[in-house]
Amino acid sequence: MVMLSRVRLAAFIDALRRHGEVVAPRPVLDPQASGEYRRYEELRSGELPELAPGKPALLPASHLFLPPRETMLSYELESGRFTEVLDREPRVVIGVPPCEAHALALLDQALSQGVPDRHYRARRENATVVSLACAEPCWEQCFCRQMGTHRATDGFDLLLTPIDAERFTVETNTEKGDALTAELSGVFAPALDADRAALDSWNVRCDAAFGPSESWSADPRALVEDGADDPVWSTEAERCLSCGACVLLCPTCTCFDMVESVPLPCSAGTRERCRDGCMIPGFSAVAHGADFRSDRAERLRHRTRRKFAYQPERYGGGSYCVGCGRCHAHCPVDIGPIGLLKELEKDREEAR
Amino acid sequence: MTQQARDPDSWTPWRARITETAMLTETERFFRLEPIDGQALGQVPGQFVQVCLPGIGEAPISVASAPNEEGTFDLVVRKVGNLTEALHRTVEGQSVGIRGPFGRGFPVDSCRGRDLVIIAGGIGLVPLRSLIQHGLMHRNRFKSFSVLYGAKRPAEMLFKEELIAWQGRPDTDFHITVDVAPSGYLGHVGLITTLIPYLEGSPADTSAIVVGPPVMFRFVLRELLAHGVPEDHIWASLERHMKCGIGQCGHCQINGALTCREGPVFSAQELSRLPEAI
Repeated sequence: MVMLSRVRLAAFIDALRRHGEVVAPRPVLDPQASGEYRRYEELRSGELPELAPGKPALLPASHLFLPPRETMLSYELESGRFTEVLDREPRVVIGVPPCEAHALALLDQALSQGVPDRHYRARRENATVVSLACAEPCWEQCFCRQMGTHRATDGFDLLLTPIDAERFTVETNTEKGDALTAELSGVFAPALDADRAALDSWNVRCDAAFGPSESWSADPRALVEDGADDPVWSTEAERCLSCGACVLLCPTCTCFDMVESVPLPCSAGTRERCRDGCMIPGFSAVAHGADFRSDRAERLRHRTRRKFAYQPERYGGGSYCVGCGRCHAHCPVDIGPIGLLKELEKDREEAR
Repeated sequence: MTQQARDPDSWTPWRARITETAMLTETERFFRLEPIDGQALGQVPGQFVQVCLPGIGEAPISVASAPNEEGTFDLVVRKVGNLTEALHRTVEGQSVGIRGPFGRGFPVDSCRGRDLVIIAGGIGLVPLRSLIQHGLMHRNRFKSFSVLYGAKRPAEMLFKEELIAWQGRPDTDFHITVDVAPSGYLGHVGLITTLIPYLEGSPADTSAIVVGPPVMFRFVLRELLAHGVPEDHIWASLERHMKCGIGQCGHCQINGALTCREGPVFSAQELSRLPEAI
């Protein structure tokens, strides 16, 4: 562990720039959107990241590695020659909150199993992730404490914790983080015993600020596995508009569709993948019009079970929901995982 | 056409030349394809490939043939969307992009030494043709060998010449039925389930492989179980729209199972744990 003083932040960012474009959540005032939001963007020359508490970025950091639309292949129509397109651009992402770092750890795990997702991995392997600890819930919709993701434990190279107004502790989690710490020794100051003690008490205050972890007694996986026939799926899905906001904003949703793009003069084109999701009608449709999850309740149940049961079972690890709260906050009809889990638990208690 | 090495983990297709085509019905076209690199597809009966035309798209299509000495493979494409319509407009000599083969095929090894029953409904005959060819090539690996094929009406039957040849073999038990027939039709008319009680072989030693519409599977499954075929020896191949074939896109997921990886062939026992399947 080393220390980073805020007055050395510019030197830190300059040093990081040697490892690729530096991306951080930046405030965006979009007249089309309702007020200000944050978006991961490259820092301008001389600009420093905010590194301050605030609402999470509209789109999570994982979308930098799994963009909403990306080119997989390019081809020439005449020769039929295909070329794989891999984005190996080095990037440094700074200011990633713990829940989003957890999401990256989950994707790292899932997308390297079976047939590895090389497009994700090419970006990920060439990236450095600097996480920023959260001192308290960053907005009212998040439930990371219940998901056990309020403290960064994986999915980052360096972790910054603002132990006082002037300084961050810098912890490393990977070999890349170790190398960076060694390389930037001139920017960092050594950590004293007092600093380690300060970090420990900061973490204790952090846990307290996030409140008790038990808001339901049962394991979410057991709840969704046992609750296949629970009426909550229909009663909640009754309101669902099938807009897909939840799947499009989720840090761990990875489903996609494939599209062709052949711009004029139609001599060459690209095959692209676009984010898609199981809450969107037609996602499970087959060629002759049959749709195996045509009902909103079936889709809501599928997505919820994917997060809490199917993905953990297939790839290992805990819930594939990291409690960031985006799906609930942006749902136009107030459907969210916490509400679903609480209802499932209530129905289970009543059935006893 | 440019030659590109095959890489099963990538999105890059390899190319196969269309050497033969035929219209099997008004909407189904047959293709025989020859890999340009001279390397056979290497499929297990029941697997599928992703077929693409650059600029138009890609779609999962069942392989309709068993591995053969010529190194070719067959597909049958029903005209239902953009890509399949474009495939219907292709000509012999043209080439298409291929990825695969993908998925778990029919359990040809666990069927060895058993009475094999193949039950095909409609276009379900297409993937099952790969198994029928395999079975006839290795006829001595199975005790009895029965095929039941049901089509809506005689005009919708696929592979009519092959049906006649298969029916003519003394070492197979081959039955065809149609739901509706024009007057003067001499074959069997009626639901495919009505043929099950008359199957050759002993039910306990039977492996039954079923491909057809979901509603057919429900009735056939019930009848096979009533007949005494064990649940773990009844298999079905399911239709889902796999966009990737490599377990990533999520489209073909049934409960926790990925049809492109764990399927498309599942045992009835496995399907009983996948309530979304049928």
